[in-house]
Amino acid sequence: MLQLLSETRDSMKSAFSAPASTSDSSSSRTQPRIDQAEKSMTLKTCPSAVVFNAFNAWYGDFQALCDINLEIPRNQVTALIGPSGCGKSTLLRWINRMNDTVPSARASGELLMVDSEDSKLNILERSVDTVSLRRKVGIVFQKPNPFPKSVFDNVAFGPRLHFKIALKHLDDLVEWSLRKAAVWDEVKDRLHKPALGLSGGQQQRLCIARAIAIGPEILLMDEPCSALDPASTIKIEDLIYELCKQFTIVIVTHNMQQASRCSSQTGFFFNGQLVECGTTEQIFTRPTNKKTEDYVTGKFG
Amino acid sequence: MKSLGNVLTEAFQKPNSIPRRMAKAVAFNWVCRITALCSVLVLGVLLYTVLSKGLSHLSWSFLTSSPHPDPNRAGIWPALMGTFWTCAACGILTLPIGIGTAIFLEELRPRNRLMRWLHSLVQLNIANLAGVPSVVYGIVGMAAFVSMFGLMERTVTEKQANHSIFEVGSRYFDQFLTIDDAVLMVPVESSFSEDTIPNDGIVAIDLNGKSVKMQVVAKGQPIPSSENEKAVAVRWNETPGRVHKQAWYHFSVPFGRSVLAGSLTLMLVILPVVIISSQEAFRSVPPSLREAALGMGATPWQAVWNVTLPAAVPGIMTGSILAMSRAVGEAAPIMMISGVVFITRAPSNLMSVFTVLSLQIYDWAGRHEAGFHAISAAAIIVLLLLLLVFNSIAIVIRQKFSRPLS
Ligand SMILES: Nc1ncnc2c1ncn2[C@@H]1O[C@H](COP(=O)(O)OP(=O)(O)OP(=O)(O)O)[C@@H](O)[C@H]1O
Ligand SMILES: [Mg+2]
Repeated sequence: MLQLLSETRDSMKSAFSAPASTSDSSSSRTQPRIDQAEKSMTLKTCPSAVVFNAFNAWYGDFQALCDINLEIPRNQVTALIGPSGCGKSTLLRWINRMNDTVPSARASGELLMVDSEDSKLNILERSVDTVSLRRKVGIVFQKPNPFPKSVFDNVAFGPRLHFKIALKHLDDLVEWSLRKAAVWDEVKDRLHKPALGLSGGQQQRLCIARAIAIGPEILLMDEPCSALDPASTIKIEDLIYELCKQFTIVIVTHNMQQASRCSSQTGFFFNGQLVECGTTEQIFTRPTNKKTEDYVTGKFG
Repeated sequence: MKSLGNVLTEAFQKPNSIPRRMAKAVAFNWVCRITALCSVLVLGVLLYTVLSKGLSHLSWSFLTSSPHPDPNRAGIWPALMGTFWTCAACGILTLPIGIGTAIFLEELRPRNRLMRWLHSLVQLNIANLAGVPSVVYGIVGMAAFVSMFGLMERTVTEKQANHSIFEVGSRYFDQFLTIDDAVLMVPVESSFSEDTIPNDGIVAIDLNGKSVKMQVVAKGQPIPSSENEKAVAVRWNETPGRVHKQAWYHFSVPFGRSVLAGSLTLMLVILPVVIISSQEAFRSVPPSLREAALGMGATPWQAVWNVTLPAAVPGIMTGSILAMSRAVGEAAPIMMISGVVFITRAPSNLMSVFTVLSLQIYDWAGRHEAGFHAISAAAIIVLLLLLLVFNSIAIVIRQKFSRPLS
């Protein structure tokens, strides 16, 4: 716990010392966020954070995911794309066991979480402590879902759950998270006003701030921009680019441009199967599978 | 097969008549208004009869005096206090149990077989219990709380009325009348102790710690003439008795016809309603909030305590207070527990005998003298005011708590 806090404080310092990177998004908007060629190089050498081996998932008798083999690289953005109902959310929700809340959900195979010391943990095991798992694997949902509390209490919710934290440090942590999520300027004067009074885009960024305030290692985002306007979307994409320096990010999206702009690895799902997975550049320029090609070029169905 | 265009042109040829649809809308509007008026009318008639009869009897002394054989001097103080005591105790007992059960049923869906079975059993039972008539709960309360199925009784001699096997907060004395107006009280162990029989020459200790030799004067015997002798003389066999002094925390088992037994019985009556309305309140909390809390690594308890319970409070409170106002008005189960007895003192602790407003009304309304009917109408006004206060509290709480959610 203490270690995490000191880590967080270090990252806070770095965040405060370079505040310009998130606020000035206009210049970076015109260029691709990620230098794809460079990324493809690093991706191969990157250690994995999450590994799926022969992973299957069911809801009752319905098999939602079939024999998934996928590696999610550390400190990179992985985008999951595919038509509606193909099982992207299901995959995401298994990584932090959110599917425990669905009584009929089952899974088999291996879902390994690899930490920086290269020790592996099978997330699917019954004995896994979901509370500390979810501390390490944060999730942002499709619809913004702030608690009916103040902006401050929303962000402080996670830290208060997990740490005995002094009020002064809590203030710093909240500010750090809100800055990271690029909403600090918009909410700094209304920290103690109800979070539900914010606009949808601000709420979504607040939810991201809430998720990163507990210092997760992996951040799962399920269509984080689907309810947002282009300006907020751009802000969140900048944010994703910014965050992947510290966190491993998995993002589900229906927006091809978004996937190509901010991810370094892309997986294409169809009917519960992982059809193709490779570097974003390869998936969008030289897909090997016909279905992938049709989908990314918009010829699909 | 017809093309879409054909289907549409065919449909366009037979339109519903707009005036007829409008007429139906207007008729529906009127039916709604009339039904609404009907209920208001019934309430109006009830209020008019009650107010016209009882309003003149409503006074401060009516509120603060005890029942009396003369209707003009009778009051509702013991019944009013009895209602407060039973409802307060009933609320304190019901809320934690009701909310706890609702949390178990709605928020903590168990995964293992046995608990799932228990879960559905509880759910099924609660739905059934909500329909049981309250008199039946009165009978249950009679057996379970008043006498505790006879299991907790102690075989004692006929003479001693108290059968408690466990008792705290009460002391017993044997009381004797002395020659002057003072009273001699001899503390005894419990209600089962042998009667204290004063003998000539017993030694008592006065307030200064000095022992004094008492002189016992038999009934009919002449009183000692010397002042000194008179001061230490008591009468033997002159209306002595066992006196029971209770502290505010007095508690005994079994509960007897006490406030506690009445509250527990009322709890049985309203618990299903409280549970069901609390469940409804939890169900109406958006699942996304629950997922947000759990997704951040909250334990189920933290998620309930920090997120779902606060969001459910307005619904829980509205349901519970409506249930409480039902408890205020219940007469049948209380009649089983306390009986229609003449009670002239407000309860002083959970073990006191008691009566409640609704029972007092029932008692007075059933008498022959017209004076009692009038004061029973006055008591009804008080009861209605009480219910009005309860419902206003429900509204205030709902407004206050639901504001941040919207
Ligand atoms: N709680 C559930 N119970 C039963 N079936 C479910 C449940 N949730 C999802 N499914 C099914 O599992 C399949 C995959 O659903 P999932 O939500 O993962 O799709 P998705 O790829 O996220 O779609 P979208 O892009 O529309 O969000 C769908 O066919 C869906 O009907
Ligand atoms: Mg989805």
